[in-house]
Amino acid sequence: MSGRVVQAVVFLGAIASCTGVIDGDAPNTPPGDPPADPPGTPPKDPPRPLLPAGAWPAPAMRRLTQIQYKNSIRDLLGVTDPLMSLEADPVILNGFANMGSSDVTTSPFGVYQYDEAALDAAAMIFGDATKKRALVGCDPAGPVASDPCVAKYLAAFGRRAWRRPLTPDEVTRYQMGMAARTDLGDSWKLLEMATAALLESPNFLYLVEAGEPDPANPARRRLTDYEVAARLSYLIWDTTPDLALLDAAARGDLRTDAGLKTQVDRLVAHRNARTAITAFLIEWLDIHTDELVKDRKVFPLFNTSIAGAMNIEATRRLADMVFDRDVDFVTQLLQGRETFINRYLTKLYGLPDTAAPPPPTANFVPYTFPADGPRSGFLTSAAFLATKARPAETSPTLRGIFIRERMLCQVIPPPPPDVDTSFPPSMPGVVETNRQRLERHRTSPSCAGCHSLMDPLGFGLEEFDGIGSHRMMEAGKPVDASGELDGAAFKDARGLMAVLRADKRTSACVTRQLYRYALGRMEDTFEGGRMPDLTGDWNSSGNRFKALINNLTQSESFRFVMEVK
Amino acid sequence: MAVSKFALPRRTFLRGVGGTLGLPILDAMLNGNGTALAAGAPLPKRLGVFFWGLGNRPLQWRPAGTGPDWALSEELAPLANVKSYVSVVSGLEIKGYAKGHHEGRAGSLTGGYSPMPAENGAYGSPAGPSIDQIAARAWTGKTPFSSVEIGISESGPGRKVVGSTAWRGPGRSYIPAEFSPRGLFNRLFAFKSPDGAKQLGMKKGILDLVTKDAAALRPRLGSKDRARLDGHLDGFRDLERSLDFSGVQCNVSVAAPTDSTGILTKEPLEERNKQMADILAMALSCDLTRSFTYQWSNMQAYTIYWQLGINDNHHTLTHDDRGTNFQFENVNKVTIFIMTQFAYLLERLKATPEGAGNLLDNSCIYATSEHGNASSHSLTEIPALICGKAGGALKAGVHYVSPKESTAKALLTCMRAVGLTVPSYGSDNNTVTDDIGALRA
Repeated sequence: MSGRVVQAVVFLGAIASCTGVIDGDAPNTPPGDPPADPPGTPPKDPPRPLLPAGAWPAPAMRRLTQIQYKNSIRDLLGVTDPLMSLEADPVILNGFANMGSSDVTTSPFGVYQYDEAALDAAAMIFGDATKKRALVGCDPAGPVASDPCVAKYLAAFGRRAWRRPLTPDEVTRYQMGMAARTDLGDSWKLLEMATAALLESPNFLYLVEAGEPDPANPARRRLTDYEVAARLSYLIWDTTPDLALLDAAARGDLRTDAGLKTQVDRLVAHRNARTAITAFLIEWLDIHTDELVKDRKVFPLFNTSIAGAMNIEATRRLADMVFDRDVDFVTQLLQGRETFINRYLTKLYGLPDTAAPPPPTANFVPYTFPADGPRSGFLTSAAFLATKARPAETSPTLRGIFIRERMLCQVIPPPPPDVDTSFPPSMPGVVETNRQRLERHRTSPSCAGCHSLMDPLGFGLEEFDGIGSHRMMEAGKPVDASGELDGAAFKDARGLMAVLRADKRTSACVTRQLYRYALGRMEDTFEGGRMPDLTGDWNSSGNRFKALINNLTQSESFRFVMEVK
Repeated sequence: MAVSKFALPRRTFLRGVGGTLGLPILDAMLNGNGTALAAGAPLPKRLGVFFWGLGNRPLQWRPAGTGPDWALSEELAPLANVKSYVSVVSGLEIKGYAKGHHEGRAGSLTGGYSPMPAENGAYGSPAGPSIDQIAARAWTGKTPFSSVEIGISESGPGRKVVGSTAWRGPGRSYIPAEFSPRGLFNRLFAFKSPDGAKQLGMKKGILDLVTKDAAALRPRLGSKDRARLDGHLDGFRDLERSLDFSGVQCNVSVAAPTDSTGILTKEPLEERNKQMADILAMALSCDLTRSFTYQWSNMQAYTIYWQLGINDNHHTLTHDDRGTNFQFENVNKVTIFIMTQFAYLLERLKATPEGAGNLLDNSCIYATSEHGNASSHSLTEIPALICGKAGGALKAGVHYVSPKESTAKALLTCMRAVGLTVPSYGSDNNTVTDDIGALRA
């Protein structure tokens, strides 16, 4: 098993200099004896399914993302129109906001915003006699410190807000805190204050995953039942657990494989999952059409309506792939032809106007691209192609980086110091294709190492322009969309997608991306070593995305953590 | 003087309740000469940072002449009314880092960059705190708000990039800017509830509870998360401090602003700039804070200057894909526009009397950007303006041509001018221990 550990280190290695062997998931690791353990190697693994000591990285304390915060307030209080402005999500780290959220320190301004938001949300309930009674469920009477109604509400609402039962000490603390402020008014006012406090507490704002001792294995900690519930809910619904999930946690259901699966299936079947999982895919695939800036002189077709249509197409297509078709996700991604278009997109896709309903409706209708056409899979959709391009043209480099980093889970180092990273301009009076310009670029040894990994992949998409329209010509010359991936040659986008589909690293990378998103952090080397098991199980179940969610949530890494230091 | 330009109907506005302390620095509190508080303490000094994205056109920026004898350049012309308060530092560099927006911003704001490991997939960040946060820390407790972060253009540099000017330290401990004039006004001057006392009591009651929650949570966390929680606790303390100061009276002579709804392709930049500058002048005048950042636009900003009839965003202008120079004229126009807006802020401070002088007399405001020529991601000729007289510590109104010194040296000058004790500043090849003597009075 130690060979796996060593491999794992290789898996995570960046393409350090872009000159040596590159590998994300080492699909073709030669068989043979594993190398000898280097000094300091931990003891041999205990037999599966137990992971060895040190295998569970310390959990990442995630702050709720903006959308998670808003969804949670909606589900806790029914407040759907947030008045609050909220500290912006931190930087998108490794492609995901929730990973940045496990790294950010909330600023003083952010604390102020949470304070205002919690007060606003509580005021919207407690300013309304019907709503406050419905929330509290009883009429407070007598001193708050000894009022059973107050204690009952704090316990009930606190359990929902903090995603776990409050300890008796915590309930008492809140009652005492209320009793200290009787100057503010009656018990209702104090309940309003306590409600806001529960929503401003770090126990609400952060997902704390400290775990508890695992009686079966002192070397690791298992997540508490409630921590598992929160992990599940924020993964599959992007919001706080509902009562049914909290009750399942209370019963200990989530500790059994079958009980866990029952809840996962229930969550996946709910419409919240459709929204949340699609949002994950959009984030992973970096579809941010709202940020699209295109040069209208070059792309007169482009406008905000088209950008919006691209986004809807992408969202519907991804949801359809996962929730309606639920067939091989990797194939759909790279070779699927089924999508949805509206009148804005017909022109862009070079289709007759009649392919979609006439204006003024912008309704979408299902559409299947022809089997012998240039489009092959989601990666040839307009939203994908347009967001991986520059304002006035395509960028084989950007598209190539994306495929390396987000589809194959490799890392391309940033350009070395003191190189001009702007796209090389053409010589005066010379009209060149992107390929010709980039070829000149690659004559520089300091650029060539990395660019030879990126550009030849991106060339495969050169038959689509900067907004994703198909093109035969570029700069007055026929488009040459040939390229190669680590020696596997292709001649166009269809060929590129076929090469990616045949590469084991692609499905392994999908696994990895969902894993990272679910845990809010990068996998460490040891987990990387276990990833092939997860991917293998997924592959053998036909790469259905719902199956991946099930496999992941059943995995030990999802349910166990290491003790924090 | 342009006082009348800003004269607004005065009305007394009580920030919070029950206070008796009179602010702004009322005449009653000053000594006979208006140079210090009656108790003998000198007038407070302020430190601000004005940041805009994407640099300038260095040849159109650098003024002719040096020392006190210099003429405003094309891009600096809008500063004519405050020229005697503005020192231009030319020739500054950020040394030893790759040429990129992130390195540039870190260098221009903090004199040091700390890269992320490549596996991390993220950009690096400043290697240490920005000068406004060093000031904020040193002056904690003196004012209700340690610092105020203002933003004008919201247009992003993209969602993978933190758009922030105030950095409390390395990593991701930044403070985002407030883009809503109404939000800033409320935070500084007002309680939403008509019953301020009750609102204040609620907030204090909540803070008491959540501070205890955090204390109980702390031992369960690992060291990294504990540090993050401590940062959150700092925020609780900041909030509490602002509540404790709630008795402070401030004669708020600016009306509560209304936020214009603007889409990102048509941001109400000039209007928001005026609103924010007015609020800031009021807040400084009332001594609600002494440290601020004023982020005109993000690093690598996508701001569209529709007011100038330019359709491409600022970042695109500087990196024109077609390899021609025809957009550089637009970069020049944008820089002049930004300096016009900055001039409004400086003039506003200059028009706010304080003691025998004005707010600008008692401030050091450092204006900079992440690049010189952003087109090549240049880390030379970083623009730097040191504005104000810092209570007499700065000569003001000179053009200093630096022999290719690090930006850290100019940043240090501003900090020392407002009386901060900072032995050295910057990181790596940018570390400096000396400030720019030629700028000091």
